[in-house]
Amino acid sequence: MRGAAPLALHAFDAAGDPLERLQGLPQGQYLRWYLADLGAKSVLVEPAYFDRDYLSEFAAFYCTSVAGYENVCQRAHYFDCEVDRGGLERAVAGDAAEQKRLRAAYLGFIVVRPIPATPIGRTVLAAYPDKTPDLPRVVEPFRTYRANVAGLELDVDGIAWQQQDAAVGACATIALWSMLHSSAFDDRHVVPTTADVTRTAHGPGLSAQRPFPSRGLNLGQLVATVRDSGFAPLVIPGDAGDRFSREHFNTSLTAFVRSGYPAVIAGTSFDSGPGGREIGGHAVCAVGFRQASARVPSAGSLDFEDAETEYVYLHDDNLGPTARFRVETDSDGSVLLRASPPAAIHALSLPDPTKDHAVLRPSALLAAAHEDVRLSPDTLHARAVELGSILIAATGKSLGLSVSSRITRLPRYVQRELPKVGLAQEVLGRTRLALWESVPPMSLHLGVVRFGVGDQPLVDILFDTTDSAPNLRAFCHVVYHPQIASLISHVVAEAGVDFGVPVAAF
Amino acid sequence: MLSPVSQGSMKKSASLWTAQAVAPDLALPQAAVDVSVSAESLRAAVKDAQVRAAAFARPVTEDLLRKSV
Repeated sequence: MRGAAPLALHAFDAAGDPLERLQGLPQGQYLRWYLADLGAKSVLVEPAYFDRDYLSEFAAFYCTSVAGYENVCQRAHYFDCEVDRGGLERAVAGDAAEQKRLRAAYLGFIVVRPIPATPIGRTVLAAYPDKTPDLPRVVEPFRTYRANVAGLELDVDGIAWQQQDAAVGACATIALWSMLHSSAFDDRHVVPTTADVTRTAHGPGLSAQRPFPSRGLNLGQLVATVRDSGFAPLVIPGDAGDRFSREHFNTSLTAFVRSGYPAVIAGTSFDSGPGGREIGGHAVCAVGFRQASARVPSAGSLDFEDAETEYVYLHDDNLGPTARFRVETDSDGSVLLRASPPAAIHALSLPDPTKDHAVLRPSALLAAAHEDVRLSPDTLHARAVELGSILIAATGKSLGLSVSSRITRLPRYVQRELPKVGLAQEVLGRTRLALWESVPPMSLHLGVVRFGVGDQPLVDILFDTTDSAPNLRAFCHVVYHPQIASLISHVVAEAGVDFGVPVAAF
Repeated sequence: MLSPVSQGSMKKSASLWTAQAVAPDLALPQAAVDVSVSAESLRAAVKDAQVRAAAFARPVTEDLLRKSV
């Protein structure tokens, strides 16, 4: 049996910090840079930590290797304050002030596996502070992870990431594993381990390859793994062959993220230089994006609100968690994703870990939705285009509209989204009751298409998510503006278009 | 009454999902209020819209599913 060892405290980026010995890896450099920018000052190391994901990898592969790998990891917790032994002892003894100080300073953790070549295991780090709340970073899939060290509970919001080990998990495995950590699934499942993901992807009929050591997956295996893990796979192919136009990529990806669903981006990697050489297939997990400026549409036009999104946040197993990538286009108008970190905040002399990082050209998006959700954002967008275009046409093209869509739970829409619109209390109450009393029974998950002008909502159209695309029907439309209510009433009467039951929220 | 919205301009602000308050007195273009487009024109608009919407309904091909990542 492994002997006991004390918790260790070190200064960040100094001897004893596990990151210090990971500098030969691009992921180690990225994590060092990232934590330096978060203001990390100290690290608390648990010398013996049994990690569920590594134990699963160990049982699937490493335990039978004659190399004699251990089954125990280290876990390193980072803080943006000084932590000494006295402070730690006070915190675990119940000193509320010290506990509060450490919790406020907590930046997250890194599990270090006993695998020399690929040591970086499950990692959850806080996001950078949001410096532009007017144009917020949208990270709906983030969840709260709670670490417990000698009774001291430390919380961090994020999505788990890890380095691929190329034995139990390849890049697609890791991307899928991160995707299934979404907060959207908090109420229903245990997150599969990387070994579970790889094993499921090699189920009967899915692959002729042995599962371990993993040699990568194809998109079909990813889709089957999502399905066999109890979720509904939603696939959006590129709209230009195996490539995406900017509008299609941005509107599809942002609809997933706004719905709380991270998305695996499958594509092809290229060297980052001019005329970059093709490297091969790659997959990453998108966990967020930066809200673009709200555009007030021109008269007669229908603009997707998120079409001009400039930055997305990706978990890339070759780089690190929540890495910022710029959405660019090549000469054909196809989307390319290029690592584009914000300017460094720290004063350390560190190499830029994103320099020369490969560029990714997306081919398809894959998200895991709740099993009852049969509605893809593509279908929702198609209906949004139809309805928005008709409304605009009905005004003789004098009106321009912005549109955005998402999938959300009915209770969340009623409880959280409606109040955000800022309705007067009496109107809010009347609207909520109308949704319960005047609208036919609705599905648990709703497809919501919101039309507005710039950032001013005008109407939400709520769709059934449980039926097939040809049968897609609107339950109702919640209208915030009396003139839009009249406009929709006119369109319904003259053209027989389905907007569902009217609910006046004004 | 508010001034009509300036269309085509950029506005640095929250999104449709984070607007703090709707403006029920937001002034829309007069034609949005005075709807007089014929039923025939509307039906034609429905057909045009369906063409644009079709771009969002691309099938997932076997080639794509076989793509290694």
